[in-house]
Amino acid sequence: MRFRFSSVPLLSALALAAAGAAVLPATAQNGDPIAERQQVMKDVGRQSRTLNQMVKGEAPFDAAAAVAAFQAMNQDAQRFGTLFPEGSETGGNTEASPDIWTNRSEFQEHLDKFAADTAAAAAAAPQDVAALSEQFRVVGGNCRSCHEDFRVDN
Amino acid sequence: MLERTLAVVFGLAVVGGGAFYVLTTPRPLDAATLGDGAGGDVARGERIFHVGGCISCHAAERPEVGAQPLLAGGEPLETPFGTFHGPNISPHPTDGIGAWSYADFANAMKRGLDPEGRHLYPAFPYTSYVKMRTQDLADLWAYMKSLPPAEGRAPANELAFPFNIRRGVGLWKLAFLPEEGPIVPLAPDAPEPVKLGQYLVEGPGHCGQCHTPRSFNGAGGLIETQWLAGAPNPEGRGGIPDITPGGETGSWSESDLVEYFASGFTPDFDSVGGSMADVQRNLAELSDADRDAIAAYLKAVPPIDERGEAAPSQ
Ligand code: HEC
Ligand code: HEC
Ligand code: HEC
Repeated sequence: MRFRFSSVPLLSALALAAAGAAVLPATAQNGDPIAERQQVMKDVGRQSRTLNQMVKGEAPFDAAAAVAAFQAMNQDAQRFGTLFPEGSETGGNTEASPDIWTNRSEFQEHLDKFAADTAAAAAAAPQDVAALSEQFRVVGGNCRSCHEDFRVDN
Repeated sequence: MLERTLAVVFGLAVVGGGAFYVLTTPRPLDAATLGDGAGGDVARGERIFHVGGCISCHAAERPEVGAQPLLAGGEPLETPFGTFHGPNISPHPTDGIGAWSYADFANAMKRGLDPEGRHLYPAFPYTSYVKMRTQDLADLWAYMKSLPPAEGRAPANELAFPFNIRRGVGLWKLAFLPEEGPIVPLAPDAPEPVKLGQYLVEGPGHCGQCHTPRSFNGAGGLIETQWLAGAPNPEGRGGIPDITPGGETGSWSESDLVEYFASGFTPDFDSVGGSMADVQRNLAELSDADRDAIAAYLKAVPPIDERGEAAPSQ
């Protein structure tokens, strides 16, 4: 289940460097990336709660609010990947797995899928609870699969 | 350190020859307590299969919705002792366990023995399955036999000397294979859901295999006085949380726990992760009654600081 780079270390290192460069724009240097990425995830959590309450009938269905929540998560998904610069592997009570820095390409696949699924859900603009429930199921699957490989419990 | 201690134990055992042979002789279940596996029910067995999480270690992927699992062998399990591969346990006659009898199956599940009497490694959580009820085992067997046979064999385990000496596992079992029966003493008048939850968690659900620390720096048995109080993560950084009322989940309500088992979301909308993610996929397959029972039991387990026990011995 874990990732091993045993075979061609040099090539892997080069590939990682290239992948890393692509996902690390300058914003990461400003501020505290660990605190920022945790804030981003907290927002993802808040949007999920809003959607889940509608799905469960704990809050009235609101089509516009649902689209807004998926859009906010899509923004979060795009921003999140920029907040893992070298040097932010530890500290600040981070629960980010060290695998993010050794297997950047797979982490990026999770980010891309999360961004794509939230964009599709917003575009689908679900008009009733059943449709929303289906979109939320798809989007929600991203949380578990990324946390499974790339988040650890402290 | 730990590796070295164990290596010495295993090494001495090998040198010790005759005594080693006697001590590591397989001890199967006696035929009287075993039952004959008759009357097993496929539908009830499917429930035990999900509680037991067999798919997590014996299938490379989950089946499509509505399809049956193909138990051709699982993803590699990395541990400090080497890499294990959950074998093919589909009913395939040569690659799987299609030629096994019910007694063979029961001895694997409760004694960690294969039909040739070889010791199985405790990476297969038979130290919890030993607590399974006879009827549940018969039901599980009926379900296993109803699954499609799958071709192919998992690769051999890649373990360092001396852990690669299977016979040595016999010694480990002498020291660490627990008895049947409950771990946490509950009041005799404890509510039924709590009792059911106890059985599910301590037995087939094998929650303690991850959430309870082990003696000998992770190589020994579960430290029952620290039951469910959290453990280091054998896969590396981070830890496995305390799930007694003394841990973080102490502030969760029973329905928060049930929601976590069903959907993977925590009360503050964090999502399940790490090795619990796959466990939760199994828990999502259970009935509400079983999830309620597991939550009720977790609320009834005494927190570690009320048990008056010392910190875990290394
Ligand atoms: C945590 C991972 C894990 C889980 C969960 C698990 N197993 Fe296994 N199982 C293994 C491993 C690893 C082995 C091989 C051990 C060895 O090589 O000695 C094994 C071996 C077996 C064997 C012996 C197969 C043989 O060819 O000797 C049987 C039977 C079996 N498991 C059945 C089950 C059933 C039924 C369940 C669910 C109730 C289950 N296992 C759950 C990891 C697991
Ligand atoms: C394969 C190892 C493993 C097994 C088996 C396992 N757990 Fe977990 N469990 C974990 C890990 C790792 C976490 C931390 C999850 C995370 O990082 O999101 C966890 C988290 C939890 C939590 C949330 C705790 C918190 O503070 O967030 C609960 C509740 C829980 N497990 C209950 C159970 C129950 C009940 C079972 C048995 C049915 C079980 N676990 C079996 C590894 C395991
Ligand atoms: C692409 C990977 C990825 C996806 C997808 C993802 N997460 Fe996360 N999440 C993480 C990582 C990594 C952390 C740990 C960040 C840290 O501590 O540095 C985290 C942390 C969190 C936290 C804790 C924040 C805190 O520090 O308080 C919450 C809540 C959370 N995620 C919710 C969600 C939810 C809900 C979803 C799905 C809608 C989701 N996440 C999807 C990777 C992901």
